[in-house]
Amino acid sequence: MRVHRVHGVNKIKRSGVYFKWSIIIIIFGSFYAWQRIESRKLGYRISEINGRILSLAKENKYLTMKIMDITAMNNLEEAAKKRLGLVTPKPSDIVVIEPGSK
Amino acid sequence: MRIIKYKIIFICLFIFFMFFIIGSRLFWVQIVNYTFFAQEVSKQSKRVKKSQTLRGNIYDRNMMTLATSMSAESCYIETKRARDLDIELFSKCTGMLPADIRSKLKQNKNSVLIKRKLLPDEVLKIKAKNFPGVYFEKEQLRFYPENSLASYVVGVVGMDNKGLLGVEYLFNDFLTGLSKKYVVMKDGKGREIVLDNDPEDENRYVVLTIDTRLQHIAETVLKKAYETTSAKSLTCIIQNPYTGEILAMASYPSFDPNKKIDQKMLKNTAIGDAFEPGSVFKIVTAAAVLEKHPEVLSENFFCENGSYKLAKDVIIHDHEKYGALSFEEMFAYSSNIGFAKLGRIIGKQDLWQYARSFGFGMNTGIELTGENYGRLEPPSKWSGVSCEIISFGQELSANALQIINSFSTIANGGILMEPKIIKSVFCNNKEIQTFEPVKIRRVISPVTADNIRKMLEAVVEYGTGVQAGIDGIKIAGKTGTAQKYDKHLKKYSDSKYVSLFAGFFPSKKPEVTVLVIVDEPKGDYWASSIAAPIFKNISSNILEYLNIRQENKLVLK
Repeated sequence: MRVHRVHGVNKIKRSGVYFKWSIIIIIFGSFYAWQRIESRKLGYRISEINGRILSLAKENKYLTMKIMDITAMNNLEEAAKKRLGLVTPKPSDIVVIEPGSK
Repeated sequence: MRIIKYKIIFICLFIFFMFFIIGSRLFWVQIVNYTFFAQEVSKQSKRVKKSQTLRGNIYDRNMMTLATSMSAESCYIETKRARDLDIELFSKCTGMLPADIRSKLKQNKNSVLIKRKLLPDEVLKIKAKNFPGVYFEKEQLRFYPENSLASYVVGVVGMDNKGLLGVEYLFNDFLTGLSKKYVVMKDGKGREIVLDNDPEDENRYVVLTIDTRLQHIAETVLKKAYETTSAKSLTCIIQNPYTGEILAMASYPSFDPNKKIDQKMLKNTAIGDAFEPGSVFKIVTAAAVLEKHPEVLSENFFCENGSYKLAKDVIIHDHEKYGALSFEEMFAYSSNIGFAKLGRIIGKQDLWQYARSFGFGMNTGIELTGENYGRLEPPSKWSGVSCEIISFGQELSANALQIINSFSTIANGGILMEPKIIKSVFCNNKEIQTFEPVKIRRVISPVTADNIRKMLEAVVEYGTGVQAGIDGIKIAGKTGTAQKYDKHLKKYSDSKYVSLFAGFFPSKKPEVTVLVIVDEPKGDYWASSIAAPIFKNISSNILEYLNIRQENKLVLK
C-alpha cells in the first residue's frame, strides 16, 4: 500500500517536471518563432525603407540636375538678358578713372 | 474495457510512430544532410545582385559640376503581352511617333527596346498608365549641366557610357568605377531583403583646372566673332603662365554632349589642329637673337622698303614699306624682312634649338589625347632659305597649345611650363592624385624675357596689335597672320588664312596668357583687325572677372 502511494507521488512529480519542461520549450519555441517572424518583418520594412531612400535619392539627384540645368551659365545669361533686360558692357562702355584725376 | 484500452494504446503508438517518422525526416534533413539542404534553400531564395556605381563627376577648379550621372530607365515591350497596347496614348507618354512604335512592335522579337535612358518624370508618366507588356531596365544617364561649355575638354560618353573624347575618354576606367555585389533574399511574393550591407557607391571624381566662368567668357565671345568673321572655326585658350594650368580651352563651333553628336565634331581643334604660326613665332626668333647676340637690341635694320629677294624665286614682303627700323619697331610692325635678316644672324642650328626649347614640334605634355605635335624639321632637312622663312613663322607648324606655352614662357620670365588640364583626382573625397605644376626647362634668361615683354607691349601700344589694347592696363601681345598651305595645290593658298593674337596681362606681372585663333576668316583676314579685337573683348571680360584693375575705379558710361 505504501509502495503504491510512493510510486504515485513520484509519477505526479515526474509528470510535473515534464509539464514544466514542455512549458519552457513551448515558451522558448514561441519566442524563437516570434523573433524569426519579427526579424523577417523588420527585414521587409528595412528593404522597403531602403527602396524609398534610393528612390528619394534618385529624385533628389534629378532635381539637383534640374537646378544645375537652370543655373547653367548660358541659361543664366539668357535669363538675365531676356527677363531682366541686362546687357554685357562693351569695352567702350567702361571708362577708367585714373587715381588722382579730376 | 480491455478493447478500449488496446485501441487507445494502438492510437498512441500510431501517433508516436507518425511523430517518429516526422522526427526521423527532420533529423535527416536538419542534421544529417543540413549542408546540402541549406545550400538548396539558399540557391532558391538568395540572389547575388550586381549594380554598377554611377559614373564619377567632372568638376571645374571651383567645384562647379561639368558632368554628372544619374539613374535612368530604358523602356521595353514584351510583344506577346502588348497586343492590347494603346499605341496612341503610349506614344504621347514616350514622346515617340506612333508609327515608330508600331514598326518596333512588328519586329519578330519577344522583347523590343522602345526608348533608352528615360528620365524619372517620363518613367512615372508611363508607369502610371500601367501599359500591358511594358517593363523597364535600369541604366545610367550622363548629364552635362553646362551643355556645350568646355565640351571638347570634358568630352562625351557614348550610349554604353564609355568615354569617347576629352577627360571622359582619358579617365574612362576611373570614372566608370567598380560594379558592386550584394546578396538579397527573395520570398514567394518576390519581396526582397538585403542580407549583407548594400555597399555605398564609391564617390570618384576628377577636378579640372578649367574655370567655368572664364570658359564661358571665351565661348561667348567666340560665338559672336564666329558670326562676324564667318570663319571656319575659332579657338581660344586662357592659361596661367606660372603653373601652366589651362583656365579655358574653347573652340567654336562646338557641340552639346547632351544631344546626338556628329562624329566629325569630335576633334578638339585647340590641340588637334596644327598650322603655321606666322608672326607670333617671331618671339622665338627674337628670344634666340637676344640670348645669343644681345648687342642686336640696340641696332637698326634696313627693311628693304617692303620687298626682299631671299633667293632666285623667293621674294618676301612686308605688310607696309619700311625703311630702317629698330629691333623693337621691327617687332611692333611685324616686319618679315627684318626677321629674315635676324634669322641669318642666328643661324639655322640655334634657331632650331630655340624652337625646340620653346616646345615646337613636340608633345606639350598635356594630359588630353589627340594632340597634333606640329612639324619642325631638323636643320639638316632645311632648304637654303628655310632659316630666314622659319624666322617669321613659316615652313613649320604648331598647335595652339604650343603657341600659348611659348607666350607663357615669356610671361613667367623664361621657364617653359607643362600645360595642365587636370587638377586632381578624388576617390571617396580623398585626393588620390594631384597634378602639380611641372617646369619643363628654362628656355631663356629673365633679362631676355623682360626685353621681349617690352617689345610685346610696343606691339599693342603702337604696332600691329593696337586694337587689342585696353584702357588702364598694359597688355603684351603679338599678332600673327599666316597663309594656309593648300595640300592639293601644293602651294600657299591665296584665300585661306589663319589669324592669331597671343598675349598676356598685366604685362609686368601677368595673371593670364590668352591666345585667339581665327581659322579661315572670310573677307578681312589680318590679325590686327580680326584676332586682336576678339582678344580685346575676351581680355576686358577677364579683367572684370579677375578684378585685375583693382587700383582703378571703373565707371559705366
